[in-house]
Amino acid sequence: MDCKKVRKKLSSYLDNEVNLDQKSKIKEHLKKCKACSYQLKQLRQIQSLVQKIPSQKPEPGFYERLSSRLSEKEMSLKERLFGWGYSWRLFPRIAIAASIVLILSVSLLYIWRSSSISGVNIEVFQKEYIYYSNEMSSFAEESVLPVLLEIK
Amino acid sequence: MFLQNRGRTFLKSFFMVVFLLLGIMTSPLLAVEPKEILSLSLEAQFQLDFEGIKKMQIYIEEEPYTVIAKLIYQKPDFSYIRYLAPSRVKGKIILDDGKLRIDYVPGIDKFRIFPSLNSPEVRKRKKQSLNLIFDNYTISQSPDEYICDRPVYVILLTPKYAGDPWLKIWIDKGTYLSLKQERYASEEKLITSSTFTEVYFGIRSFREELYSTIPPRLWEGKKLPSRRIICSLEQLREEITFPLSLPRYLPLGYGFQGAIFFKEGRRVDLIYTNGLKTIVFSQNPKINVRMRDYHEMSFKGKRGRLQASIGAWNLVWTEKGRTFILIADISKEELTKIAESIE
Repeated sequence: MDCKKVRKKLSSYLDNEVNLDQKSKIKEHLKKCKACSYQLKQLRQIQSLVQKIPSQKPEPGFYERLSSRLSEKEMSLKERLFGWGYSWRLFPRIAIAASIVLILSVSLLYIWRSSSISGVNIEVFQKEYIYYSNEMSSFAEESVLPVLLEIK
Repeated sequence: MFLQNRGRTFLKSFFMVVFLLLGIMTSPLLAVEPKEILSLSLEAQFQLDFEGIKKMQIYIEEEPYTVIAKLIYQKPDFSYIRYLAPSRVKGKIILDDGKLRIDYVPGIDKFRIFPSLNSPEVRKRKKQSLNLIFDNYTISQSPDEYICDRPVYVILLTPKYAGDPWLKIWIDKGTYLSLKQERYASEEKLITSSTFTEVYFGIRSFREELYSTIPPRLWEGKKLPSRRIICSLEQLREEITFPLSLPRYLPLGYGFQGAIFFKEGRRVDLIYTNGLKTIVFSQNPKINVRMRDYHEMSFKGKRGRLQASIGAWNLVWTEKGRTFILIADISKEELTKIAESIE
């Protein structure tokens, strides 16, 4: 095993995270190589120094605040990612509701129109009466009758 | 010689007397009967080319209104009326070409089309109506007169039944065209009179010029309302899809003339006539008929609105989801009797 490979695994060797085969090979290399042994010595010093740093406790309620902030972030992320997805999932329901409203409106309009009474002025029937008089009786005054309603 | 001359003179005188007597005896046979004059007069306007100015007097509530119109007739089925006075109707045109009857008021572009009144079908119905006149009127002839310097027959139609109008017609002896008419109420009160103040026969104006007085965009390609005339009640019953109402009572002399059936709506108009006057009974789907100056009346448990209009009564009521309109130029009592008899 050369120096480059040994130095890559030195941290894992120190934490006892390498297998037995690799451990023996690294041990053999360290017996022969002073530079790698020095590297290991430095790593052990850093580890002991880090362990000596006192651990800091978080403020009371920190975890609750962190949890809620994480939930918010998660929701906004979901909305951004799946916002359209939600709409598309709701679309059939909206379409059905809109169709029902449209059908109801058209039906109501039809019922209203058919049940509501259309308005006609009596003059329309009077003009037809005059026309029928001209059409159905002899010696009708063809030129007098059409203006009877208009001259008064 | 003297005897021979006397014999010739006697023979001459004898033959002259015989011819004179024959003439006197046959003259009533050669004279045209008043009924025949009326029949010929009904068809005259469709067999002539003529133009003229007609002056008409209409009495509404005893107040006279004068209408003047220019009339152009061209055989067999073309007529053109242009109103010259009063100002309210001045310019109004009625053009009938045997197919369409166009009613047009220039300026305000008021326009309406009807089926022709010059068509063979209408002429046939008018002839049928003339038979009713022969049944309901006593027809007599007065001494001849002159209208527009032309000799005319004077025919008087006297009603057999009270309430019907009297009619006096002056008919041109040469062409059988009616040159003057006077219509009286039963009390011999004048209702309308019309007379040609000028008339010229054998004149034929260019139709294109007459058509050009009505904008083509208004009438070209226009269709008439979908309506059909049914002449028998049995056939009408087969065609309609709603219950038909019929009057069981009609004033004396009136008969069923035809029904106008409107295909697109559930509407039918029944028409009755005595030859001169018309009763229309219109049956419609429920509609709101707008009226002014009416008063409410009850008849046979129904409530109706009665309105006096020009020359006729209008009675409107709604029953069993249908609206009925009865229009007739008869007395209020007779109108009520008809309405009460409707089943």
